[in-house]
Amino acid sequence: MKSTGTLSVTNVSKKFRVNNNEIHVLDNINLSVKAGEFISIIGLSGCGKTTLLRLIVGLESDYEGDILLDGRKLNGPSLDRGIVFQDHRLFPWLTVEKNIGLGIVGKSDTEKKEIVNNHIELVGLKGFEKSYPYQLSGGMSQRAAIARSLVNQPEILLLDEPLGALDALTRMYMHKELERIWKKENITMIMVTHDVEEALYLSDKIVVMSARPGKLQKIIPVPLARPRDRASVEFAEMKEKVLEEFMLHTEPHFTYTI
Amino acid sequence: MLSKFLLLAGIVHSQKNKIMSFLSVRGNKYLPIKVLEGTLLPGTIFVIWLICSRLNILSKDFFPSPGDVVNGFHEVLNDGSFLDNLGMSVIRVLKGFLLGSTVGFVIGITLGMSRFLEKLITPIFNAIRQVPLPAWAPLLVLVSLGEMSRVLFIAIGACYPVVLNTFEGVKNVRNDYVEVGKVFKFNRVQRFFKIILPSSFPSTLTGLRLSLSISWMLVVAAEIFMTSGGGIGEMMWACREYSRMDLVVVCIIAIALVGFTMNFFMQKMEMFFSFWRLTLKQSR
Amino acid sequence: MNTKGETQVKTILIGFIVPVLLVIGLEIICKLEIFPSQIVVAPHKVLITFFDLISTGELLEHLRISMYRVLTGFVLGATLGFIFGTVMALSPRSERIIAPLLSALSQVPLFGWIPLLMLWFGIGETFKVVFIAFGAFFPMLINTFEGIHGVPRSYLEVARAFEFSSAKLLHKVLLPAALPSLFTGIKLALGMSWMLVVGAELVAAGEGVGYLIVWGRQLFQMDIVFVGIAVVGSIGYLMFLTLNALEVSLISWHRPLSKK
Repeated sequence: MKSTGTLSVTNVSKKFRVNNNEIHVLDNINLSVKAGEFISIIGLSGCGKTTLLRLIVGLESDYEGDILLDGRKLNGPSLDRGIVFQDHRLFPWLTVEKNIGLGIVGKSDTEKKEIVNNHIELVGLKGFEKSYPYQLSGGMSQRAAIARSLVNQPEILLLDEPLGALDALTRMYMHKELERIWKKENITMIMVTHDVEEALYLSDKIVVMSARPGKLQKIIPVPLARPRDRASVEFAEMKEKVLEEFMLHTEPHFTYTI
Repeated sequence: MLSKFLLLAGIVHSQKNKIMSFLSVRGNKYLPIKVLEGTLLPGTIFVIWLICSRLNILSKDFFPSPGDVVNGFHEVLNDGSFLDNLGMSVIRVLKGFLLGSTVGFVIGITLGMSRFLEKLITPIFNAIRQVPLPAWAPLLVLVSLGEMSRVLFIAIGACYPVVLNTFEGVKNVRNDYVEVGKVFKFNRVQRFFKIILPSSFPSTLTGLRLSLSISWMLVVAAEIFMTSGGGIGEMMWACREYSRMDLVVVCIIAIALVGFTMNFFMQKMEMFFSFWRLTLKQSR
Repeated sequence: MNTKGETQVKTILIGFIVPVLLVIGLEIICKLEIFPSQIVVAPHKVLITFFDLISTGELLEHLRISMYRVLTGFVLGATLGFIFGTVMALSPRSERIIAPLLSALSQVPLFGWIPLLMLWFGIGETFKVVFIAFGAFFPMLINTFEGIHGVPRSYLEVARAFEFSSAKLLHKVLLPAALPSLFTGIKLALGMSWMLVVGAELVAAGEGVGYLIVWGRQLFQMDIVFVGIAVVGSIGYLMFLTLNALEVSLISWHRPLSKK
């Protein structure tokens, strides 16, 4: 078992100041993630899930509470945490292989090349090494972005709605790919999403957040066996369970409040 | 004679499809007609010009005939001083352009990178920029630096677009990319060379293209305002004094051609270096 | 709120650091007589000359004349540019007929026209007005054309769905949508006109601010040259500011890209 990659978030709150008004974005968040776990954070837009992710990466600071990675307190971004953004954010002026090699430091050229090649193979982009981002489809761009975030062998990979911009079919295909990569690399992954099926397909635990201020509403374990079958009864039951949290399940109601 | 013409017409007719497909660029079968439309107006003007000069309706001093202009070209090309003057102007432009754009690039990067320097320099830069470019000429004449005056005059005009576009390019580097740099722990130098410079480069190139075309405009002005250094502008000025209208027209055509060529190459270069921007245009 | 105002004042004050240092530096250099006075002139002397020229009324007379030339040339050139731009944008055929000729003409650097125009029109007012109009014509043409040509198809489809007449289409859709671009054209055209009037007055004039600068040069009086440069710079800036203010008040829905 991997010993690194545990994350604990305790009593974390975050406020933004906008025109002298304080806005509570996150309120008293508690979360612990075991090494090698796949966690999804799910919630309506504006619930602060992306902010939580950015806090963990280190792109946001000034928060109350503690965020510990393997028992160490976080201090700004670091190479032990990778991130995949919703918009792939590949540098359009670099080829795929240069983009993937962008973050590699302290390695010789041959080592670097090997790492890049391995990761290109990992994400299934062989043959596209010399392509530029504008020549890639959305799914391929996101594969390249995933490869880029993995080259430094981070202990934890954060995914901010990584498949949000893809069409439904490509997205389902990418779920499989993501699961494969997660298993192969054996690292902790935390993904922000608002797609319940996506969360169910991939995660060990689903963290449901509510909005204004962003609070942790419920943590739902997903005990289904992998690979998961979207058409199975268990899957459907789990889906109902998650949707209940958003009062969107299919049981008849007399009143709907959203 | 007539039979030969008919034969030729027959050949042309039988090959019509081939000729048409040669003239039309991929799939655009109306292109020949469109090109013809474009030549309609210049053609009409040319014919009127030709007829008027044949019939001596227009005074030769003001409207040289096409033949005069062609003769003028022969005259100046045989003389040799014409090409010398053109060469002098080109070299002068390159000097001023290199000086102005280098300084402009440095200023633009500096202002874009440092908030404080932006606040410190931008107001005075904007104030100086308001001065219409020709107004600097008398000042530079008074300082009397000879050839340097002319080069400086061009450099002033060449500097502005590079400063503005480089600054704009640096300021508009997407924060998204800067964040990627943060995630990879880039230091300042890495951030500059790996993110800011490549990302703002297309904008800088636009500045350089504008800068070169302004430089070419100003070299003519420089040679008219600050004479006795040679150059195509000065030659044109002299031709005006001798009322050699045909040679003035020759000079104008030459200046336009050189300017066009410069612009063409700069445009090609701009496209070449900013090909990666394609997505933006395509997705629109 | 208070802090915002304070930082703004601070920003403005920082902008004054360099000019103030420049003035002080120049004064010191002049006191020490390092350079001959015909090359570097003390700022206070420039100021005195400025007030002299104002009190004699000379400066204002020169300005009035230059302004008149600019406005005639600008109105002539910009109007023609607007008409040609509109026609070319509305009719693809007219674009194909006119565009090649115009783009060929626009290849000639503006100052290259001076000798030709002087031979045709002499060195009087006509020459200057035509020259200025030439400069104002092209930016107005290009921006009008791009403004109208660039009106999103979706707007045109809305107009077609509501069966707008062509007059209504032009008035309600094309012109408003093209307005930001038109304003860019006007600003560039006016700026160009102002530059060209100075240029024209440098080579052929007996009055006008451009002539004032040349006259100062001929007298080897750097202070007059500087007054001229400062005045043309300020007037150019004032025109730009006025147009900007007008643009903001007219096109409230459009947020200019340059200001964030």
